[in-house]
Amino acid sequence: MVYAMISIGVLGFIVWSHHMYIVGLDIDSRAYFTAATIIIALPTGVKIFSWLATIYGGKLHFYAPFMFALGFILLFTFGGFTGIILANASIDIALHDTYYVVGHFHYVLSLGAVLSLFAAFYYWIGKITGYHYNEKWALIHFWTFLIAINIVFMPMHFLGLNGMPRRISDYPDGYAGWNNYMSYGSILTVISVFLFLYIVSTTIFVNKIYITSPQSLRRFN
Amino acid sequence: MGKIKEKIRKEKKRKEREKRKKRLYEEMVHFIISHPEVYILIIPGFGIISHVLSRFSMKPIFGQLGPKSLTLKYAICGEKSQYEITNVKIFHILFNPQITNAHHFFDKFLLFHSLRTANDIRKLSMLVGISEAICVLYFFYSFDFFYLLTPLIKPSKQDLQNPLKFHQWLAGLIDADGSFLLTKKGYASLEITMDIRDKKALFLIKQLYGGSVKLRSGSLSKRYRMHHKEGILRMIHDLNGHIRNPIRILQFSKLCEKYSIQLKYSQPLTYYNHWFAGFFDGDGSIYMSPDNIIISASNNMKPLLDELQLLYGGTINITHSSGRSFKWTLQNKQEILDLFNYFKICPCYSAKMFRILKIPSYFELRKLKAHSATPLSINGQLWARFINKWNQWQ
Repeated sequence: MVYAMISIGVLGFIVWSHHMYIVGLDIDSRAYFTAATIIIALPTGVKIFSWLATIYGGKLHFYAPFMFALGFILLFTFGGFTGIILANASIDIALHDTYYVVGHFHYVLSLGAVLSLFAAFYYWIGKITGYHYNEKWALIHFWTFLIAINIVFMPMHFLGLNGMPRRISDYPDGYAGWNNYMSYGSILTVISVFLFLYIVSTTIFVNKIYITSPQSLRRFN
Repeated sequence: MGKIKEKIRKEKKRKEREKRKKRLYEEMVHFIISHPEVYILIIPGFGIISHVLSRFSMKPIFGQLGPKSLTLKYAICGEKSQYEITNVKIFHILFNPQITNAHHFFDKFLLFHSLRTANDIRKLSMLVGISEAICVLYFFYSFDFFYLLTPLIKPSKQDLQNPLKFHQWLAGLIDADGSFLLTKKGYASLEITMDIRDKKALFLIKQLYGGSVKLRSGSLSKRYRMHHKEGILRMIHDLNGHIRNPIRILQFSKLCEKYSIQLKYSQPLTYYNHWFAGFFDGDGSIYMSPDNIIISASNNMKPLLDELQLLYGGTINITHSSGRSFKWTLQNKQEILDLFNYFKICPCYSAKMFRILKIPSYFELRKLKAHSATPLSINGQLWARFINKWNQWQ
């Protein structure tokens, strides 16, 4: 696990050219960068399977941080999978600077990092403030957030495969359908963020549940 | 003219080259620094996820080196150190508690000896985090070693599967609060009446022996009732030899006669006998006087309380004016703390356990003189919070 993490960190430094396959690199360097980028999938796979092995056979407690961690595994695996597709220089010629790339890196980094941050928040907020969050609302927040972000970022793959370019503010009418869905999804995301703010405020200011109360200690059995 | 044209062309080329160089440096910045950034950004996320997953799966993270190598060490040295290591703390220190709550995992491992009898799949799958070769070694080397340590472990739900402990507890509870009845028509039944807040204990018995739990009219109490033959027979077999209350033995012997079972008399009480936990669940009480915690148990059978006094200390007083009821009380701090340690090993299943668990924090607060602090000081607030919790159990 530790070695996997270290090797991800190290390999991250030698794959930068996979962003510029189509600038005119010669075929050898494209082959190298393709191979190097795909190899990052190995330590990442090690990590994913280690997490699954950790869950397997355990005594699972489906509290909010754990749900967020499970969501992280799901979305990170999905994003990593599109990453392997994009790592191929030959496929990248078609997909470069399209929304497929945008979908990919949002799945990996935005959702991955954000979900792990939420998990960390729910895991440590009791330790930080001395009060427990509201478990029910936290789960509602989790499901709203998970559904919302999937509505936002999933259609990006379809748009990208159809050739919608990235970094251009407007788009042809043909792409309007999925863009519409994405707008609804982003509204739902905003709602879930407000839900989160609500949870934070209730945790800290109203309805204080002490972490030492038996109700909250129950989770440690 | 030709020379000037050449110069201009050269100038143009130079500028272009410079521009290209600039672009190259920009790309260096982007792709040497900001590309690895995205990988580095996710790494703390990995750490958080590893932590949370292992915490809520109650297992150490898979692939982590620490437990594995330690397991190997114990597997290899296990035979030698079998009788030397008696301190369970060793595990807590050697396992890295910073990364996971590994001792949770280990507590379960310590109970592995029960695998001999019950082939529990869940316990087996706890081995998933460990490589297969070591798993096998673990089985061979760990049994007796861990068996020695079992009395030191915090009791858990799994202890209920140890029948003897549970039977002792149940006998204690029936001695205090229950009664066996045999009607003239020959129907045998068992009744246990407890306060409504202790219904959990009653449901526990119901789960194991059948019967019913119903609310009694007029008072806030619940009654457990069991009168099917199978359950009664099972209970007689289980409790034979554990019952100590003379009245209860009299009732019990009638049932034994009816079903023609040999009645066994109890052995003298020992310190770590679960009988007292059950008796305390029924007849005991724990409350706070202005300057101490008082643990007491009242019963009208003095011999029972004498036995308690002999083992756990304390005094016995007559409470009822007609001299029919006796009360055993414990007020000495050291005795109370000893009793707390007893309850850690032999837990109560009623709501009294809630207060028992608060005993150490009470003495801590007393030490800080929190009880006489002004209400607005930190100690005073702590005390108020403690009192609030102390009273919450009702």
